Amino acid sequence: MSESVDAIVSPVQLAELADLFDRSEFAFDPLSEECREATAKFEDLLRDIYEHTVKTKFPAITLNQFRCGIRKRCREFIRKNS
Amino acid sequence: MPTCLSFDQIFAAGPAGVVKLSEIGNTFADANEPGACEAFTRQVHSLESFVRETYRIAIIVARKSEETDEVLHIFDMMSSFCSDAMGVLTTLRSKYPYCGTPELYDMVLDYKIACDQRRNNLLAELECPNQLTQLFPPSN
Repeated sequence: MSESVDAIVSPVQLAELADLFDRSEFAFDPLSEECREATAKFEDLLRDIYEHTVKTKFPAITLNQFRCGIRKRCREFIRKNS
Repeated sequence: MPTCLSFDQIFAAGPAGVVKLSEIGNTFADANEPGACEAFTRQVHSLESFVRETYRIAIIVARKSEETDEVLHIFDMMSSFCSDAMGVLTTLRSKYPYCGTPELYDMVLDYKIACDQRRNNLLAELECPNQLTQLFPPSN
């Protein structure tokens, strides 16, 4: 991972993840069905990208590491775009 | 110039609500006394509203804030408050088995879990390796 590489997560995927993250992490009602659904969809999409792209190209990166990276990036994305 | 309130200032009213719930709960010998359930239920609703509304404010701050410590502090405060409220509700649940007590206990527990999850996720993000930024498109 020392050399420059193309982004594994596309801008479209990042926008979609950030939208789901927003509706999950920042839901006004954390007990709502909408919040639960967004949380599940966020996790599904994150795992899908991990399994099909990250794991094969960067096997040293764990799912937990990828998850925290995505969450951090989504948080930044939301701050900059709201 | 508009007046600004900090989260701590908004939150300051919370502990008094828990104390009041405890006081009202202890005023009556049992829930069957005339007016007991009505008075207790009123305070249950007040505390429920406080938790929901304060959580919403916490989320607004968390969404905008660039200061991780500030957000961690807010969720810590919310979580501790929920723990304190649950402590009081635990002792009053048997005395007021109806009057909305078990429902409020469950709701406060769920909000505490939500706060703890958000706090723990933030802590995990702090320890995230920096090299992972190469996986993502450049920030605008």
